[in-house]
Amino acid sequence: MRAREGRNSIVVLSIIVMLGAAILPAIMAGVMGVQSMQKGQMQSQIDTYQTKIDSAIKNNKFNHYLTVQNQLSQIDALKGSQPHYSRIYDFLRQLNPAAPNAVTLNNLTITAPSSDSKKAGQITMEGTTSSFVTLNNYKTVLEWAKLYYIDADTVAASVQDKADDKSDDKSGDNKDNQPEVTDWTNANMTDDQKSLVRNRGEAQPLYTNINVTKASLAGDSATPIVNFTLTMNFNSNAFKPQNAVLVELPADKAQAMDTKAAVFNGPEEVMTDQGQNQAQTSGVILTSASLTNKEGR
Amino acid sequence: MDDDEVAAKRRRAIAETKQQLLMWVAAAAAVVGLSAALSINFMQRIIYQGKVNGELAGVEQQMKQNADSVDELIKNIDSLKSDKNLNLSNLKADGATVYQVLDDTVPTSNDRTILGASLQEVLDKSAITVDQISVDSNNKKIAPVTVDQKLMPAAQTIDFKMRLKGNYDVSAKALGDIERSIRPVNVKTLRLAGNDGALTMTFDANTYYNDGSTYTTSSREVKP
Repeated sequence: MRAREGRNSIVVLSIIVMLGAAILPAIMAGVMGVQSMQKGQMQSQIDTYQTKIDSAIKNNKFNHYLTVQNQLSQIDALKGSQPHYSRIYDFLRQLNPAAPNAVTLNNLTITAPSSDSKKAGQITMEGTTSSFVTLNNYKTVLEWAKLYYIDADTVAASVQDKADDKSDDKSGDNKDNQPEVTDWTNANMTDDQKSLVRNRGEAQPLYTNINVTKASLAGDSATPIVNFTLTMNFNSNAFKPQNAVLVELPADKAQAMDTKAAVFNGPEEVMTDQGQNQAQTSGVILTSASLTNKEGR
Repeated sequence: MDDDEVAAKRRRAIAETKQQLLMWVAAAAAVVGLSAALSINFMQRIIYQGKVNGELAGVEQQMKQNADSVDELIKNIDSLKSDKNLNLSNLKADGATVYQVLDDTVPTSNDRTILGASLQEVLDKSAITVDQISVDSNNKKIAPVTVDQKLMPAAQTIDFKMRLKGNYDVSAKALGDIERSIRPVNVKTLRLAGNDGALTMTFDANTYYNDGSTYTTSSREVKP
């Protein structure tokens, strides 16, 4: 009797184990079925979306729109990283010593910083002056030159603050006449704008590592001439398009500048067909012949 | 029935029971073994299918977003056509469409003629004399921009040189005009030589073009 009970227990247990063992893969098979259904549904949705996009490509030249979108997305970054070296013309006049300390340049070369910013931007000036004293004076002027700059956001915020303060005074709203921040340099700024840049801007040296790499005395004793070459690193903030910039000297030194005097006084370079020769080696497509038509304007 | 017969009958019954039990246990073991093998196999398939479905869900989401964006993108870009700020003469004369303006800004090919024409158009605003514009035709470098280029092609650079001549102010204006034009021009080296009355400006610079964007889909294998 006991043996029979034991046998029955084992048989029942075996059946339970077998059922359990059969249920597990069955459940898994169910899961696989659900997964397969999900996959089918997603694939169907993807096909629907693909059809819609294909239709847009076919009917609306969608790739053209994508190209335009890509162009638009890149303009700000590309324009924002473009230096505005035209400001150098303003800086040169601002830092031009008046006679008898006058200095004139024959040649100026700006080399942009390396794209990884490991190598700072450099300016090389070649010019003449009347003595080593005036050369040293010019070097000191360049060392004194302070750059104040603020970015466009700060300018916009300040302009907005001012507009809020004068919200009742509609006659004072001349926003449309304000120059773009890119044009905010010494020559183009109003006194108010200069104050804004000076007061809210950060002051840094305009030039660093200023070195006289060459200086030689020429001419006669009555009219001596010192030929010189100066090299220096420039502050790249001075040329960033999103910065409003102001270059200033200490007040007592600024009076000794002559912003109207000539900056360059070297020999005129003759237009030759050198460009044509250079062009041929670099794969030119346009030369002086096709573009030089505005002389004497 | 004597005792021997009873004993023999019991022994037979016990043997039969043992045999039955053995069969049941063997059958149960076989089913468990088969189930374990199937389960392992199924589990591997489920895990892999889960990965595939996960990827597909991502693709479906992306495709949905793309499909939903199609109409909006077309609408937004078409609206640029009527944006008066983008059709003003200070951007481009002759009532040019916004697409032409953009093609001047970041053209879709390394088209040197378009570059020369757009530079000439900018330089026409000042009294500068153009001595030379030369374009390096063999250049192809990626522009150092920070735009997310995961889906869009990166801009390529076009190197060119210019040699211009004018007085100090004209020279400054010409360079300023180039910088303020909608086309990005990145000056690498600028040389000024001569005197204030006749200043020669020579610069090496680059500008950019961008291959046209094309919508494509591709398949990718999901590894187990």
